[in-house]
Amino acid sequence: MYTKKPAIPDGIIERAHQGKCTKEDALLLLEGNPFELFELANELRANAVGDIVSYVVNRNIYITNKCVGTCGFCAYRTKTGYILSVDEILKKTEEAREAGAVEVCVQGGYTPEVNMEFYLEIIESIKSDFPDICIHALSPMEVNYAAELSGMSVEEALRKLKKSGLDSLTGTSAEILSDRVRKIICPGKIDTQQWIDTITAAHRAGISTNSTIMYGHVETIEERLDHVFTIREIQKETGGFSELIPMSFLPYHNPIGEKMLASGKFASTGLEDLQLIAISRIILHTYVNNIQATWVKLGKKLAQVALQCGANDLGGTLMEDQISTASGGSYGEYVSPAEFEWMIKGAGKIPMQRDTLYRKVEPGFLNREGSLPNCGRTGIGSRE
Amino acid sequence: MNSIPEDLIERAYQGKSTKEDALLLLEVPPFELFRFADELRDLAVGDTVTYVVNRNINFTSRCVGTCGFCAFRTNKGHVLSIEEIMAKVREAKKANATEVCIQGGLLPDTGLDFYQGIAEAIKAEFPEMHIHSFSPMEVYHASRISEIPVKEALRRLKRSGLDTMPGTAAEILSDRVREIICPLKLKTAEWVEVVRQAHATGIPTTATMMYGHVETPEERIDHMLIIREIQKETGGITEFVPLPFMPYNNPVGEKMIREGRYATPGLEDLKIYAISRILFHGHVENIQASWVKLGKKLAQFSLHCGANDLGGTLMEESISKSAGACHGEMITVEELEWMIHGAKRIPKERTTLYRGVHELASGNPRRMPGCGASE
Repeated sequence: MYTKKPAIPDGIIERAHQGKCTKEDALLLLEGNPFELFELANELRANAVGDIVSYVVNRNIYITNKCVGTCGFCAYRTKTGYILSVDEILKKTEEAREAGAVEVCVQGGYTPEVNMEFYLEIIESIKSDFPDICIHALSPMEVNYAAELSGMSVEEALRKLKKSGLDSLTGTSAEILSDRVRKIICPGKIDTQQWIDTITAAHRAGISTNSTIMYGHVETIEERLDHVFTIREIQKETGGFSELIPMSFLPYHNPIGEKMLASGKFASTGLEDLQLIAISRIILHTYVNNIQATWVKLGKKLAQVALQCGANDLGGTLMEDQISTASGGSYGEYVSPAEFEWMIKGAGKIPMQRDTLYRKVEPGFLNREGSLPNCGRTGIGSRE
Repeated sequence: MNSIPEDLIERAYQGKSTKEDALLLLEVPPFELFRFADELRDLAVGDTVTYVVNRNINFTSRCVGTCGFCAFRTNKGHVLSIEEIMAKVREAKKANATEVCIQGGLLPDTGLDFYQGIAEAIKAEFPEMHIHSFSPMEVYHASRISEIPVKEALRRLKRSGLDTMPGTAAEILSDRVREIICPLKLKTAEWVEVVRQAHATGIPTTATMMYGHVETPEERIDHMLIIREIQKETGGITEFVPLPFMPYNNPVGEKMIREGRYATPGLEDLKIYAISRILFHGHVENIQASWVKLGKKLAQFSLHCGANDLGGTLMEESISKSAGACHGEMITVEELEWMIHGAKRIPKERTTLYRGVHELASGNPRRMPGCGASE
């Protein structure tokens, strides 16, 4: 008969509520009935942030697709690509502004042509022309690389970025914070400790960051969990993270993905995506309040389901995301605020437009028409 | 925590869920609904999740219909010749397909001979290929053009080699809704009659429901109950396939979007899968999740919410794509099995009639000879 006896031990539930979930707890929760996991995560979400689900009207701007990196999961990098000028970046920011954006997310490859001086000029120019727009930009990897090019320490680079008007550094280039994994998928990138040091230094310099995890390639379940626990440890010390974004790896058109496909492994399944969102909520409870479900990677429908499984944010409207598109992301490049509100209300939640730092903003512009999903177009959007 | 009343649970087990039960289930916490549906799925079919290796062949986009939800129809699209269709069937055969699913637009002067010709050509070359083809609307249309009763049309198609029919053109079985979204299509009673006649002729069918446009929750449930009534009488329905409406590039969808309404969110889709599992318990064992409409990730998760089948590998899918679906036109057997293993279930390739592929040639038909899926 239909019964519903909870199988999660009381001790685990209690520790979760106190923000003391252990790795063993997390492993056990992942082994159990997924719906019980989701219910626990959902309860903690309600305790932490209530029924408000946020999203941000923003635009991704990619400074360059040139990159000297060798990451095996990247389908975006080229050898002879473009580098936007400051004027072009300002023009894109202007367009974003006209579309009601409150944030621009500015990132790119790392390449000798792009140094700290260029980054600082970009940030200063955006700030001076658009003082109201949140600048969420650059990854720990870009800052490390450009600081070295320009002969300054990471700390100094961060201080200058802060002074130029950087509001928030992106927590990308985290991938999986395990040196074993990084050697396989991104051997040229900063290692785990450098990522942690850069993020910690940013927080100390008064720059907020978000955090990300890119999962579903060569890492083990334990390495995923360790990653989330690493985020928790940093947060205990600095309090500088605004959110965690679990990003499922897209295995198309890149060497790591092709190797996976050749060995009969495919993208993480929907169940697995929801489980990671739920377990992240539980591990980070009382430390990081915001767990984002990114529609670019999950698809709109599953991202909406994730709102019942621990997520409380749908990320950005994004006007372009060539990075996910290049890896086979097929969920379109733009979601209108009106469609976000439809999805959020459909989950019985209350929609709220926010800025990068999760401050409420008044909806400036609701584009009723939305735009059509078009698998072929360049552009898309994962807000990172 | 149990929000589902005992008597409702009891009725569900007995295959006697009512409309009121279904409406109440829409209001309970979604995870309770999903877990209940998952339990009934386990009872009905166990942990096996099936899929079929098949190919869709849309022989023309030309159509005299006026359905406002269609983004595929054209006024002067190419009509595939028998030879072109056969070339596609040969490719399908090479890819180990056990089924071809052939459908197309309604051509102004094309009667039954055309449809019979397709079936006969395929059977002549590939007697073992399962022909899962022609919607109730196409059969109805062809019988009118050829001026013969539907019953006779079905008998002839059966003789020509048609094995099963997709239960498409059902949309929402409500004349109020049909008047809005597909005024020229066969009415509810006519759809029911074609399907009943097909079953009587020994042609099993699937049953579909296209939801998420102008219909009410009650109309969705009425639709499922109409299908259940047919099944009680004939036993000829192999599976139920809920299909979320894609609101892009078509007039019904564009109107919705102008009003601030979009495609059904994932939770609503999962509720439909769960409710259909419950309403059909004891009647229709197989609930198919369409990865084309839901996306692979949500389709996989729906296996925990009542679904037990992932449909077909398809090879080509032009209809959903033209209405904004971005989930691709084909999926490999390896990826389907990856998804099923990821749900901790046991993958099994099936035929259209939900038999194992090894049982293809022999096999005791449980209910009727015939059909199976993908639409």
